[in-house]
Amino acid sequence: MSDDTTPGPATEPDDPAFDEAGAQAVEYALGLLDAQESAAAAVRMRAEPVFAAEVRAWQERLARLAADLPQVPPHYTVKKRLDARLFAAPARRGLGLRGWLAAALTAAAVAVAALVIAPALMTQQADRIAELSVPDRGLRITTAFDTDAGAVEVTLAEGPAPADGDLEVWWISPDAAPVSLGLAPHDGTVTLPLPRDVAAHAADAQGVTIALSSEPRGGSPTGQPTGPVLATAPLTTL
Amino acid sequence: MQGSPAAGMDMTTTTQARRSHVETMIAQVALGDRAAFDALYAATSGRLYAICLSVLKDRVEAEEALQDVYVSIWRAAGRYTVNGLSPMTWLITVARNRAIDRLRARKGVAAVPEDAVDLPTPVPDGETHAIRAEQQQHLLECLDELDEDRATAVRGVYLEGMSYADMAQAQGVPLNTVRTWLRRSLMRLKDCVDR
Repeated sequence: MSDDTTPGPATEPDDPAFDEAGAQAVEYALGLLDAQESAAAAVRMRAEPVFAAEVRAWQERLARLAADLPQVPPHYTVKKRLDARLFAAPARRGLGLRGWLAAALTAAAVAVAALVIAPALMTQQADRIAELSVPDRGLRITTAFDTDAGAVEVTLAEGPAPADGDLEVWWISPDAAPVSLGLAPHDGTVTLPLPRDVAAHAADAQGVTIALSSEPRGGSPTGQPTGPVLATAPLTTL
Repeated sequence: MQGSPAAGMDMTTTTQARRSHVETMIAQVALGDRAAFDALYAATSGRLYAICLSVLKDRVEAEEALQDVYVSIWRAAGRYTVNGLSPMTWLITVARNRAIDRLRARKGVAAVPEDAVDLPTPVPDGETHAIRAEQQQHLLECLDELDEDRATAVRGVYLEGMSYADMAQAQGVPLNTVRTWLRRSLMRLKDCVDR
């Protein structure tokens, strides 16, 4: 602006009435108060309807600023992680005859797998696994599939998560394009619902490779691996 | 209301239709309807993620904040109707507060202790969502009436979670000076919007 004549306080006779309560309401709405002041304002929110209404009115006015931002669609894995967090693994279907037989067969195998992989897995439910190791990074990621529930548990079993990106896990059927299973957690374990087309044949698919690629934060922007593939492993059946 | 321009009426009608749509989805989410939750996410996550990104300027943190936001929405949808905010304002305010909580945590500043968005607040008599929507329309024009640096500061506080200390440091002036002129700018803004 070329206008240099910004008036000082003394030349603002039309300055709006400057009352402390009004200032507190807007500062509270904006999160500008320190912890102590903010606690005091929260008490007023409960006790004084006029004050509360003024805070609401400010939230209402200022929301326009946010409504004006260009929208940014979040990566689709965010919703998957959100669902996993809110709704945990999908409910298991009842076991049919085949299921009972499989359960009997896998119970013993699972006990072995639990020793091989890591103690903290949901392996009681897992029927297929793959372990992705990147020795030169000291990185090990385990995937445990519960094909009955249509979910995969991805665990950062060892090593540091990348500081400036994400690790993405892929399902690769023979002669098919990789399908993203989601992002590996930065620590601990995350349970991800399987994509519908993977879940449909996850229990029986043969010759499947699980791969790990290094991607920008939030995962591959294209839906296909864009970074270096760090590790691959055959999907084994327990 | 013969004086109302047709374009303005169209905009109001569209805004109200969208509002009631979002409001319906929130009401269904309050009943634990996951399909409604998916629809609400599809309709609003681009906007709420934009806010998280604007405040946090970090994709991973913004994604985590966004998850926190929708966890809050899923759990608090039943209390939405008593807080007196229009539906998009409620969602936007939850998103902004969550993102700022994360920003403050990153800087080692204590989070704002109370999340006021859930507190029940009756809307005062005579004040309707429609009036508030009109005020929102005026906000941008009124920001333009402020000096440019002051308008920038208001945007910085709202959209980037800047604190008085941040602004004082950025401009090399005492915190109380920043506080005085920002308060004054906000009161002017209010005066203009309510006019």
